[in-house]
Amino acid sequence: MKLSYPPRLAVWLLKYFGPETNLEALAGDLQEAFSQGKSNAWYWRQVVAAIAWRKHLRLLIRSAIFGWLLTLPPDFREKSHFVGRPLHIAIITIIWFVISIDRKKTQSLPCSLTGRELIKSDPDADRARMIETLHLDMLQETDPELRTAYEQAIIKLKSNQTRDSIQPI
Amino acid sequence: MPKQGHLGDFELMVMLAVMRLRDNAYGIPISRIIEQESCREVALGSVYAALERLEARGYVTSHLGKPTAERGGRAKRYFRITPSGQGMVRETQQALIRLWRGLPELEGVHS
Repeated sequence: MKLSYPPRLAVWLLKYFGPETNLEALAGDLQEAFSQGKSNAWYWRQVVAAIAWRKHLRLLIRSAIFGWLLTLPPDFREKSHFVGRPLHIAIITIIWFVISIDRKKTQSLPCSLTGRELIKSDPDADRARMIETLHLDMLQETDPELRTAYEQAIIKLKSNQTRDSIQPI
Repeated sequence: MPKQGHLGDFELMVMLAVMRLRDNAYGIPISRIIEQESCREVALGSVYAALERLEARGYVTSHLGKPTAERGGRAKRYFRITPSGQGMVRETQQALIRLWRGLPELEGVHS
């Protein structure tokens, strides 16, 4: 069966702004429906509906407040200095927002700043991250043979994950 | 004293779709059944959000299937209704029937 590829930006948005639970099942369902002939517009509508807008807007506002507080000069009581530098506020807001999203996805708040756990390594989380990375790479790959290789690698990783999760009685 | 926790209309639709599908209840067929019966496009994200709430309340359980190439190596999550979920569907149905009764403007209307 020929696998078709949904819009990359939509896939990326779903990965980083989609729901925390059932994200993989949702992404798989969207991929399956898209492969069965759903349009790009349908895919986009589904992704837009799946994004937790309110939650991320709250996160963005919090990041902006943090950025504003951080850029306040020491003599902020003077009215002209109260606003801070807009460019600095914007940069800090973006950085803090990205870090917050990253924390949300890795579920290891004190350990992670860049998506890598610094203190302890969880094999399941590592494998899940590897699958996600492979999946994104596969979507960006244009060579059909390499895409197939990526697919097979993902399936193999998944089957290992399923096998490992079965505990002997 | 009134009981709390009756299902919302979308949650009820999702539960009924899961019951209909039996062993094949995952996102796509669930949303397809609701789309067919309600004649509106359903967001898969909303279906999963409803299923997450229902699972948290103990009305459905879920398990992962095998990953397939068609899904980009991702596994399906299958849902199944629990006995307490079935009981809640029945209670919601009874509550709706009681509300329905005695409304002459709705009697004999079948679309």
